[in-house]
Amino acid sequence: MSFTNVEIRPDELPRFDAAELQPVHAAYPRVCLAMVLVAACVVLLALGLAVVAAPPLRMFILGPAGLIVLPGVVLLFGFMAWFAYRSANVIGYAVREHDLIVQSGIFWRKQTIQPIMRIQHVEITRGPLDKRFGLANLRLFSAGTGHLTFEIPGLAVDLAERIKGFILRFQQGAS
Amino acid sequence: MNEAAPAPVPGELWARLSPWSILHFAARGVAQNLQMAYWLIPAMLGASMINLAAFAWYVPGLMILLVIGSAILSYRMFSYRLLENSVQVRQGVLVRKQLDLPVERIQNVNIEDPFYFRPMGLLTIRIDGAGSSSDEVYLGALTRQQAESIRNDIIIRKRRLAADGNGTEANGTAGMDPVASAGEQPFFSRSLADLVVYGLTNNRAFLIIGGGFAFLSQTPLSLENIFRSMGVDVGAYLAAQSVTRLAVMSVIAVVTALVLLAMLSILASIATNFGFRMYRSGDSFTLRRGLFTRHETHVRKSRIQSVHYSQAWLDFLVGRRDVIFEQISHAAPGAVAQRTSRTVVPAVALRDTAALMNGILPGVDVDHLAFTPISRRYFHKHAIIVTLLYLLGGIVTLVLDLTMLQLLLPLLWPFHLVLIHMRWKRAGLAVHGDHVVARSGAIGISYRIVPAWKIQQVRHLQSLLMKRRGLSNIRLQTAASAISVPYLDTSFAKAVIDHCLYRVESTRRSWM
Repeated sequence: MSFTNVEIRPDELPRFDAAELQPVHAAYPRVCLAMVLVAACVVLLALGLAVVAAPPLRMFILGPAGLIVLPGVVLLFGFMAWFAYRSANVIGYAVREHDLIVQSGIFWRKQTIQPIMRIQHVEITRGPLDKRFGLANLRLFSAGTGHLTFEIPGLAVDLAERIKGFILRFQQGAS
Repeated sequence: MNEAAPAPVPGELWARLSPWSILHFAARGVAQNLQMAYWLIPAMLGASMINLAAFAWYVPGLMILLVIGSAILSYRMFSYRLLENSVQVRQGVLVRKQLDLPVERIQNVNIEDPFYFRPMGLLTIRIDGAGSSSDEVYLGALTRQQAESIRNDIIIRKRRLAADGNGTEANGTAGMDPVASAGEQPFFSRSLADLVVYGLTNNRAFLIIGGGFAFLSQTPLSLENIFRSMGVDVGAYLAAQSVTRLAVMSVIAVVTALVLLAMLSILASIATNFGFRMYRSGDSFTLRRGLFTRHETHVRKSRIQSVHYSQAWLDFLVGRRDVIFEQISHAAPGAVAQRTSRTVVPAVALRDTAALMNGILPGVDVDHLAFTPISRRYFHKHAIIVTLLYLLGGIVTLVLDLTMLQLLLPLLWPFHLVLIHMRWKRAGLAVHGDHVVARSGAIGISYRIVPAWKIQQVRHLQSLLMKRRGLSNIRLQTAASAISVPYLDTSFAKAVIDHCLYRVESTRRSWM
């Protein structure tokens, strides 16, 4: 019989919420903010063009409806900017001996813990803005997690590479 | 290996299948084109309506010719060979494809016994590769001797490969037993009565038939038109009857329909699961079932990621549950495999669960585990949301003056609240040695059992409000499925997470 029933010793186990979370790169919240602002500029530009080019739209936007639409658009982008900035600011991560932890979410606080032994592959991705600021995203894939991949955004490139190296070395040591 | 076999003696030479395999290709062609047939019916109806009735029958005729033609061509163009380290297949009529399936990526070699090969006593082999379904290889129309020799060959090669270094793969491949039929011990079976219960409790025919009627009523094939074509004017007939008579007739009609649907579902259950037998051999088990097409499935115990006890409300009334073994086909290094395969053992009596599980995953008796309940606030939250929805619905029915719904909503509301209450009462989580068990369900009680060391990722989630109340949702992800439990006490949830992480990280046990 291979059945075992080892006693749980909750007090002696390492606690995941005792890990000290590191903030992401200081530039990352600003990059997120910049992305929202770029999107806002595109939308406002499109609106401006529409006003110039299409007279019925001009009537609509400069008329009484505009009193609701324009502040609405500004408010929406204001909220999105705040949300993007705050979200980026609350992201924290920790690298432990056997796993990685990432925390995110303003209204819904979420901690995901990924044991290194279960990682199938590691990916470093960089968008155009990330390149500009020397940032990178570290993505970890494990079996069955599907779209719920583990991602630490806004890391300095060399740091992301070092964490990746740590994961690969761990796995070489394990096998 | 066997002199009677003309082709599939493993070796360097490309081998062809027997001409009988045309049947196999035709069957697969039909299966793949069923989607098209679904569109064909309305097309035919359309054609028949616009005075092209004579032409309408060319379409299925053409389809049949196409299927036969492509099956013959597929057979002509298909060849395969077994090399030391891989199985290679050349196929494709218009586009030639060569598939190279490395032996170490082969997960399962299944022998199938389809009904169209039954008279000739021929078999089909299905070789499952890693991940996607494009990695599947079918070899049709083999004799039993050929099929078994191919299977044993692949398994022996797999073992040899595992023995040559590569220690991590070694414990992963030992499970496929080349002489499975010799060392097998029967340990669990399902009788015809069990299959009838399964057909009744898992009545999925409702959905299919319901959808079918909805579709037919849109076409000239609606019941009314059929009756009319038989010279019966349904509308005039009904108008001539009294109200009580109409009521009795409609009740009889509904009951008849339900009985017919139940019969259909039972027949489907018997067709797929007839002669359901499970055999133990070493660290794997074999399952044989099927009336028309005999299925033979090998499952390695180590590949099982979680076990799901599913219980529909009818199952609950008759004291049964379906036991579902959830596996992952394979995760090749560097690729993220996503295919989950499920092996269902139908309609297991609660007291027989232990007999089944002892052969596979011993030591977990969910019926006598102490579960940690979830917070009463779960009930409060959902009761409030549902009540608000009912109020909204009530206002809508008042405004639109829908008398029937006005009467129905106050009756449904308490029933709905009772269901939420039961759902809250049943939800719970238990940690038992190496296993984590979640309980859920409203009427039927479902369980999901996960060996803690097979967990891939864990997640802790709480809203601001939940944080203030000390409540947490947790999600324990395995390669095949996940356990999610809401509204647990935060300190308990965190202790469970720490325990699971410890189980994963302190042992070197493979999850495969």
